[in-house]
Amino acid sequence: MIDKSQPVLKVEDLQVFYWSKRGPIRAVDGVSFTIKRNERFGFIGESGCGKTTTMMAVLRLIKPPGKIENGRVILDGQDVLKMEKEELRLTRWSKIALVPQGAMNSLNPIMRITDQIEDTIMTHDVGATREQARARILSLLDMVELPERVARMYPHELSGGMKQRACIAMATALEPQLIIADEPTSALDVVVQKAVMQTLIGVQERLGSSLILIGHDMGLTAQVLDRIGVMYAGKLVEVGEVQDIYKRPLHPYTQALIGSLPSLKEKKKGGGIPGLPPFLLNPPAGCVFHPRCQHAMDVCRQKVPVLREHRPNQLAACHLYEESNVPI
Amino acid sequence: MNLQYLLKRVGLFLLTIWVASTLNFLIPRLSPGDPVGAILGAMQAQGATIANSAEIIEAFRARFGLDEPVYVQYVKYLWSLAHLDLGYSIAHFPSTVTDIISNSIPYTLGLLSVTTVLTFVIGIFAGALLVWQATPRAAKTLITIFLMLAPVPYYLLAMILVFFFSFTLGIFPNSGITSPGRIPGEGFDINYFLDIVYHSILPALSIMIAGIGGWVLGMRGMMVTVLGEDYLTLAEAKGLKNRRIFLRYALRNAMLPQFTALAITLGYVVSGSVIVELLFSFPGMGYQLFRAISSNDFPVIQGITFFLVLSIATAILGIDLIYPLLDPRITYNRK
Amino acid sequence: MAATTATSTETVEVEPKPQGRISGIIRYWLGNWKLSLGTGMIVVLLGFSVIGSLQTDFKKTRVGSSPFSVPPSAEYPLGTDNVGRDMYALMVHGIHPSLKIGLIAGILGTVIGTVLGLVAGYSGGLVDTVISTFADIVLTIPSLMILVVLASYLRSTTIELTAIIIAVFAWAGPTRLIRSQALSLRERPFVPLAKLSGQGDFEIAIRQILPNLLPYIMAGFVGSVSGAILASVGIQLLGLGPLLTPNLGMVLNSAFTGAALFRGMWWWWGPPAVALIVLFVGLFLISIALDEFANPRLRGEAK
Repeated sequence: MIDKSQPVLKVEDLQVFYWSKRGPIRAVDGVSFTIKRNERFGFIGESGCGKTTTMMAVLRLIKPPGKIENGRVILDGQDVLKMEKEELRLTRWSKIALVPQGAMNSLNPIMRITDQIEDTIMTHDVGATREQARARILSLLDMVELPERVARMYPHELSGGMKQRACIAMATALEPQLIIADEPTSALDVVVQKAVMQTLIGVQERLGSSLILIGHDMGLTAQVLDRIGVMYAGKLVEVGEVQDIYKRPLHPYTQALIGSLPSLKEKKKGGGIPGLPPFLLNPPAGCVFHPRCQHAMDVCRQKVPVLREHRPNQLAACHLYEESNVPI
Repeated sequence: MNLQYLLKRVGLFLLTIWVASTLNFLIPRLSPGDPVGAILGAMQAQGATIANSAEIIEAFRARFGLDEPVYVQYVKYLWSLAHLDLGYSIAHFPSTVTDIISNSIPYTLGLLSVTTVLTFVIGIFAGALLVWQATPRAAKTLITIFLMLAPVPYYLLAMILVFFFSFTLGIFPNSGITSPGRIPGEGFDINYFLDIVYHSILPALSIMIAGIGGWVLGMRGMMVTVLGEDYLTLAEAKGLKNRRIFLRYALRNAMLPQFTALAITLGYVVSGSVIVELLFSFPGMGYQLFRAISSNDFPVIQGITFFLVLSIATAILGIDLIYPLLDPRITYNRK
Repeated sequence: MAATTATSTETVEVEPKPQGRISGIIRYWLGNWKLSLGTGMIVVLLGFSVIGSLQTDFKKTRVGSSPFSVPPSAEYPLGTDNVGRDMYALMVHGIHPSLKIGLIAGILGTVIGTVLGLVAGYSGGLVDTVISTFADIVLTIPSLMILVVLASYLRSTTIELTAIIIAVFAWAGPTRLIRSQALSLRERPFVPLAKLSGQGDFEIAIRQILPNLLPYIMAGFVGSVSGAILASVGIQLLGLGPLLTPNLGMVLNSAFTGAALFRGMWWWWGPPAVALIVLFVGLFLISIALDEFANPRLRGEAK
């Protein structure tokens, strides 16, 4: 069934607009990327840069006034955006699952944890009886290191970390090929963050699925990821292996982002990037980053840079590296 | 369910009953003239009942205990209330108030319980469907019409319904509970029962049509909030069927506050149906109340109002006790 | 230093010039169809009553001033009732007293409710428990029942007295509404800020919390007005309350006791019913609009 040679997910030229009275807000504008089998991929960028919107579009969960304007989302060989309603429903969670951003409010407050996992299993008609589903839920809870009694509990009886673990257990219920975790630890305190992240990675390795991790906390995510995509103002500006991105970032935005990362080894003067991300109702012409870029050239104000491989396995959308401009 | 919640609810119930009965005790005594005088005056106005007036006055003197200090009167009054002893009717002496109430209870209780439950259920569903994306346009239009009827009071709606269905079209009877001259047969007479139902349709419709809009409105507001919650997005991401998302995730959560609102609006519903009964000469407690008012039958007026307050408080207590079973988070504090 | 500048500029933004605020409110009012339609309905009804009552002899509302049970004609635009009262005269002289009941009870109920709700919500503790328990009890006991008992002992009563009696029960709803809002406003960051800048509790309640409660107070007021009119007509249908001076409830009561419905005298029960429907729907539209103003999430979801 699963064709291992194919990538799990291939997103091409995705565009998501939020329609306001004054025109479209270009939340995601021409994003393309590929997620390989078993890979852990991270999206980073400031809040509001379109990371979450991109993931919601992959799940086809964009709500009006938002709309997916263009693009292809090829999940396991099929275009999610072209699926019939029922096909889409059955694909969700069985092939692609979500560990939500706000685990605090992502569980139905008036249903027991076990019932919230059970309804997902039963609705996908995997041929399980209720008893089998319940037994499976207990083993899932065990896998995320939650005691059995949690199954009979309501969300308000759980701590933040326990809720997040319950969400991870839920996400793995149907052994999906791809798990999207949207800042899964942002609401937790530091000690719990680490433990929950380890659980998530452990579960992903056991299932052999791919993982997309969204986060603005670069320090924590960097340790566990294979590759990273950097987003800025609705565009993917750089993609590459973790070591490359950290050691030799190409895009000036990535450089600034890495620079602003508090480092224990050396006391660098980070302090963030001057200026604010653009308002996406009316993005700047050319490269969206040029108003804040130290290296901005004339071409940056006119031409939109294309995401291209400038080093092996390292892609960037920046005029600095185009051959017609300054070579490295 | 925790004990604190239980005690609080029962406490509020008892407090309500106490305040209502104390008001009932105080109002006659604060009004100009003495209560027996008022009753005597009322009897003189009636003329017909004056035959056994001496007997009646004696009965009332004993009941009010007017020669005793006020606090003794008060304690005696509460004591007799606790035994559901509400005294005698003036207009129908020696019938007791309890007799009159118990004759009219089945009608009021039947009409009110059926209409309240139906109104609530229909209103809740309609309100939820109004903001649910997948609802057909035609259904939304129909629900909006009901929403527009929300501010129209029960009694006006009753008049309009009688005008159309009874006076103009002649489909439904305009008053009474059975067709004239109809007597129940042996045991359970299905035709007699159906006749009662037939006579109850217009009163029931007035109460329901006037009530549904209010629930639609409240539910609409709550549903908008719930639809924006993260757990609804996750429910969709989980690939659940639309029906299940609607029922278990959206509707059930949005419904909870309506349940407490039901407790609060119950008094309003009862007041409205009292007048509907009167307009339809439906022989429940509202109609009896009207007759008691026309014949200055103070004990019956007070008895019926007290009994209605008691029923409402009991129903609210029931709702409060059921509520924690529906919402695992709530342990106390009705909001 | 930087922090102080930030707060001072913020305050300037929060309090626009009074003129701008009032014209802003007017613009919002006209721009919202529910508000303008609702207000329009009430204004038309009131205008009809006030202007009509100035031109129509009050004597025509007396029994026997006109022929009995006449359908609408040029001379009697709304006909007459079964005891020879001119329906048109009854309507124009009867609408504004009904509104008066609503206004008196509404103002009293809202003022008492706002004060109690603010005190309960802002001070909390025992005061809050006592006030909200009492409000709960008053809400549980249907006011109509107590009004019936009261009114049955006070047979000859006036519009004003009826309004005051109704007001005795009209405060509980606004109290609850204002209390819960005050409770949440108390937690907002501007309260500790005001405390730090040396404002007392009373000052904070009046100057910081009260203005934020205005939409809720107005919604509570509109609710009390329509509740009071509803209750007054209700007790009049039961044969109590002010039945001697013209008002909508009194006309409706006489139409009911005179069996207007079954005698086909639609001009007798129709006009008061229409006037009441216009009144209640108008108030309802205003209250929905106020609700949406206070709770922006409800906007734009109506259809």
